[in-house]
Amino acid sequence: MKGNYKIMDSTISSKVVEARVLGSIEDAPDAHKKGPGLQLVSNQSSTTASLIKYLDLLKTIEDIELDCPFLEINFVGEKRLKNPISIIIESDEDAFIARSPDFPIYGYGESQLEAIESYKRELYSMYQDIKEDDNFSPDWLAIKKFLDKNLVP
Amino acid sequence: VRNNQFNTNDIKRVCENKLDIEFRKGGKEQNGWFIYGGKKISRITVPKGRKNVPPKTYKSMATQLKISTKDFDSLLECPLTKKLYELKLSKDGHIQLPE
Repeated sequence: MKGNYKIMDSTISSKVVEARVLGSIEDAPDAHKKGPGLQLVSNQSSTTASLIKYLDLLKTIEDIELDCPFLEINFVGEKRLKNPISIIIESDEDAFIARSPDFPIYGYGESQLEAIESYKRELYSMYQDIKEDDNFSPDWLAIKKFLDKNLVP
Repeated sequence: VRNNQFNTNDIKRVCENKLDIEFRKGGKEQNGWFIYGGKKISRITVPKGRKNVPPKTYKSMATQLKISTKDFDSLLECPLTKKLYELKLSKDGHIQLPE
């Protein structure tokens, strides 16, 4: 069971992360008590869902530590991006924040996973907002143009 | 940075009262737009629940409003009024004030 795996969240399709299983998956709940049983590492924009069964386990592990604080987001809601968006996850006192230089949004959470999930919700929500009309300042119109160009129809 | 002085509810209240930002209900995050002259200029996200805002999140909120953390401090503490906020946005070229 040891090794690197890619995991896709079925509940929010934009979630594609790579996970490193440090011990046997059966030991992971115990590992949670001692330390992280799984670690997220930077995603290489693959959508392999073969380890989807580990997702629930991932959610139960609160102290996952990122090997590399960079992740790539490949979806905005259900829509795939031609080029992934890179985000960085940092600690922010006792919480975590996920940010990207590309958009004026952030994700906030008590754990790194929560911050990533929050960022993805924010990205989707921002996209829904800017889709509504064209009554935006030029920088927002540029973001809209960028997303329209980068989303696979 | 005076993030420790304000919790998420304080920030939301100031944005609503001073900048007329209307936050969307529902979801885990609360979003609202600052609108000027019928155009959406800046969009702020405030995490739900009454909790203190850590420094990077605080700075991100200021960045979302296109102002410095110092100006964000002023906005929350009171001296920065909506008029002054608009003036700052105009100075940085985000909006155009009428002559």
